[in-house]
Amino acid sequence: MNGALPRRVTLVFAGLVVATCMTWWLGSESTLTGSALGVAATLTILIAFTKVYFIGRDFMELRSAPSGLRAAFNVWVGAVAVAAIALVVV
Amino acid sequence: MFFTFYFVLTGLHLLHVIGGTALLLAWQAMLTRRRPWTESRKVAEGIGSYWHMVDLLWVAIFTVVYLVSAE
Repeated sequence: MNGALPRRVTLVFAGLVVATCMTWWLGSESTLTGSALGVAATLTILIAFTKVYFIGRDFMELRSAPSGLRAAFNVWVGAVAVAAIALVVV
Repeated sequence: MFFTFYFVLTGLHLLHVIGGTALLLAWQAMLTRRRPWTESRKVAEGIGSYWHMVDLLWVAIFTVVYLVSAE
């Protein structure tokens, strides 16, 4: 752990809060219809899995984990995000 | 069909939350007894990582079950 880490974690936390507000608005407050609804759903899932990526990277400390573990996590996030979009939108 | 998935996903997640809460309480009890940090560091990091994994899974579950379904 170094001196710069808490600051980075705080910034990531603030970004996660903003991203949460965006997905909340897209999911419950927006009044989209038709094809815009599919775009909103895709965007919501993409933002959520970006959050998942940063939680793993900064809060589970995968940033400093062995490269194999990092790669496995990245592949998992990408695969589940694509599967979720395919199941919901397609 | 939706509610089958809903209750399986949220039910399994609840079990993980209960497990994580128990681990955090055990960690707190360990700190209260003032056990040396050097002995418990890996345990503490493991519990912290587990808790963040539960959090990470909830972000995915909440999005699919609540937000996207609401759209």
